[in-house]
Amino acid sequence: MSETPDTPGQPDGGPTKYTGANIKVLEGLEAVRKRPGMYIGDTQTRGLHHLVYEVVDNSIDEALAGHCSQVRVDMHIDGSITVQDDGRGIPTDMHPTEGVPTVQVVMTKLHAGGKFDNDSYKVSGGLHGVGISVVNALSESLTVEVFQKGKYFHQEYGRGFPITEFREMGPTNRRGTKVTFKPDSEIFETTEFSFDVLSGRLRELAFLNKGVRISIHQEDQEKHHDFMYEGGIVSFVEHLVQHKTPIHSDVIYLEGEKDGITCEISMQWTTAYQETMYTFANNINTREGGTHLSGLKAALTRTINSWGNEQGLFKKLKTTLGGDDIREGLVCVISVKIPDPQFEGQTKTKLGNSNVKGIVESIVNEQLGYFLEMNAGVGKIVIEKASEAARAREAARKARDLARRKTVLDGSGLPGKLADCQEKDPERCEIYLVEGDSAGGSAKSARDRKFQAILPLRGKILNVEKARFDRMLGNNEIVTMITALGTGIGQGDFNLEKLRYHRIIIMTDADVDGSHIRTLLLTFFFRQMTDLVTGGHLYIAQPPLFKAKKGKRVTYLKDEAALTDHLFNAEARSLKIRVSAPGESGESEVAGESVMELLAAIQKFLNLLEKVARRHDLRLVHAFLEAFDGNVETMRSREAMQGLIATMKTRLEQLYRPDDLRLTQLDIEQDEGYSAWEIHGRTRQTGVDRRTHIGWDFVTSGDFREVKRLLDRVRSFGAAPYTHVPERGNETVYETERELFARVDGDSRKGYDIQRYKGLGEMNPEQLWDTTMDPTKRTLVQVKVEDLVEADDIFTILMGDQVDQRRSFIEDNALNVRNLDV
Amino acid sequence: MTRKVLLCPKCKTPVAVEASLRPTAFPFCSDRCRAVDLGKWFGEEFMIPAPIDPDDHESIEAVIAARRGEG
Repeated sequence: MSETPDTPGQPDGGPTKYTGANIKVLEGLEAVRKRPGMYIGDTQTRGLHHLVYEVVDNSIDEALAGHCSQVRVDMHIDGSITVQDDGRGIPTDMHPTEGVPTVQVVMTKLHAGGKFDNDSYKVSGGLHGVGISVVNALSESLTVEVFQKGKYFHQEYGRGFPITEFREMGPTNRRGTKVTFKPDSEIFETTEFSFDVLSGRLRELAFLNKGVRISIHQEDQEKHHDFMYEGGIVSFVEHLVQHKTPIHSDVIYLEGEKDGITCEISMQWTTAYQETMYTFANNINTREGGTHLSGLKAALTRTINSWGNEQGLFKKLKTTLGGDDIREGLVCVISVKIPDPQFEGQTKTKLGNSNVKGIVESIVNEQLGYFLEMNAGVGKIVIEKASEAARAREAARKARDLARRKTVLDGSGLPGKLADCQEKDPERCEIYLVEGDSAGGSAKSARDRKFQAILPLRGKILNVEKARFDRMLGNNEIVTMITALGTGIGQGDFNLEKLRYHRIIIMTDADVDGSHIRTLLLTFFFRQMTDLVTGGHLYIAQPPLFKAKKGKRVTYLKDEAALTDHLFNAEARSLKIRVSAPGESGESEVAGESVMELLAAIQKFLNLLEKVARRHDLRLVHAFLEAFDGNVETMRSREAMQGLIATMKTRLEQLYRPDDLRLTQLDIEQDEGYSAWEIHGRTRQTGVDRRTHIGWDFVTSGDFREVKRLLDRVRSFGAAPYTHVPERGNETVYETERELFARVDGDSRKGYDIQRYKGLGEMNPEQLWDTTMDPTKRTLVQVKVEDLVEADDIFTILMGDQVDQRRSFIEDNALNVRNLDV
Repeated sequence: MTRKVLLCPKCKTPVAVEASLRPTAFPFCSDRCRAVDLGKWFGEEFMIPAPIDPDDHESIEAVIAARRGEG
């Protein structure tokens, strides 16, 4: 007996008339129906959609072989699917060994079809290579139509069994294969196809097979898509980065072939923090990765690191770039085509062919290396991004380690430096963060230990360069503080609910150091314990700056304004000042409350003037302010400027004796940079030569405008000269605000003993308690996030990497230091 | 006037200030930027420069005094 089956199906072709060989085939399909999961994964949505892919894959195979350019998928109202292509069509001849039409073999025999013969298709899709026969077995009905060489063929199946004969129906001008099937509801838990799911996969296939047009049409909702990408996987990456921000302009494309394995990779880095990797083997989305992915990862890491090393880009980075760092923000598609793919893993979506790893690696090493040589700019951007990622990773690790590191702790697990309070209910507890050990000592004696805790902090001082000290918070101080607060720090660790004190009060000296420590603390809280600030837990103590004593009466005053208020109050009550009436020629008298207002305005003006004038001669700047109309355009006119310095000269001669002023130069020079005129003055003041330059930069600066505004405010009361009219005694005329203020200031201090507190340590504990810590008397300023938002820009410059920028900021805008304080 | 956005202290990406629009990593754009910043604190990289040129030192004090004068 021959093993070859007998004559093929009878003309009327019912399944019952099949021979033993056929039955074997049918038994194969019976097995598919018994255990469908083994062939298509599951009988739910995923498996259902898999049927479509299986049929489409056959068409794609035709496309890969160069015989097909269009694939069309139709979703019909009855739940059936049609897949058709314009390929060569399934061979319509009789099968040489099976003795039935080849189409019938393909449709009914497991593992049948051209794809299992490497000569027919070099590579082929079709997950697990189960073939269309599985689709047939799991469909309650299936129709196959072939258009070939001018002839049209047709056959129908039911649950895998041929119902009609495969026969020629007539002539046609089409070519290709058309398969219509309706999944078997006895097999599938659901038979409803999703347009979006199918579209997603078809789009993917269109990307992976450049130039192939794949369309999908849904009948009842009249939805359709048409996918065609000349760019292939480059277009794929462009599609994936649509809603991201790439950090270099063009998608990088690498391709190569080795041992019959082709590999294509396209990638682009974006500002995102996640990596997006799509891996395919023979068009199958290998969600579990596999050897192609591991080859790609290894080669990426090695190539980028070695190129960066050659370029010397890692000098500043203290750690090496890990693969994760390099892939941060990377959007990448890799597609390999392999003659004999092996799939592993739970869902059979992990590529197993071990030789693929080396091949992918060598292609990436070589071609990405070449790309970087040619596009150093892109390489640098990528390495910069990866270095950031590495720093972030390192920082997070370091922060975690340090935050968990214990400082010197006492028996309760709290820092030894902390003087804790007795109360345990956080709502009632407060902690003073006190700068300096001596101040900490005072605060410890002064506090109410029932609910007030004290943590002394010390700023660390570094002599960075000859003329400068840098202040910072040592990491020990930070760790101590975090431990005392109890919140932990960093993502996932910081927990506001563990906060041990609901009021955190920063108490620092009223000097530069204190201001810097306060700035550092505020910045730290704002950036790293934001919720604590938002929750209203952060406060700044307001220790007094002055103590004024007259006789036995002692008054503490929080700042200069309060001191002046206090001192002037008594003095001004009896004082009148006569001024030239604003806008009029006559004189008018300022008296009562208005005297206080005028003096306060003068004080503000003078304080700022002194600052603004800086190394210049204040007298010249003052004279300029009086003469200048506030319109910067004046600076552009030679005539106006000459008139202006003439006015200044007259005023200066009126106010000062030539011997005092020693004015040797006062003229204008052209400033080409702004096409403006600049005033150059040279004087001698207290034995020092002063050069005063008043130019465009100066006049347009915010500080200048502010000081001008303050002068205008003063002058709104009336113009100089000022006549000082005391209650008793003689009237005196003062030409300038400075002279008037000095007189009133001097008078007001008579009989007072005024002490300025520079440090908290200068106060004894009772004074500190009375003025700053006693809840019934003290003033606390609550820090709000909104306040800190403004200040953070300045923090950034002050603490940034740009040393020059910082220095010039400090020197040019020292005024703005006030903005650091809340 | 309150500002609508600030720049992430680390990467300068605009970040919404208004409470309802703030990202969870506020004032940073992302946890990653916050982590880098935290690393800098522990790495003692944040320093405030203080000139010790006598003139400037005094002037800074004067500034602070001026600020206090303004309340």
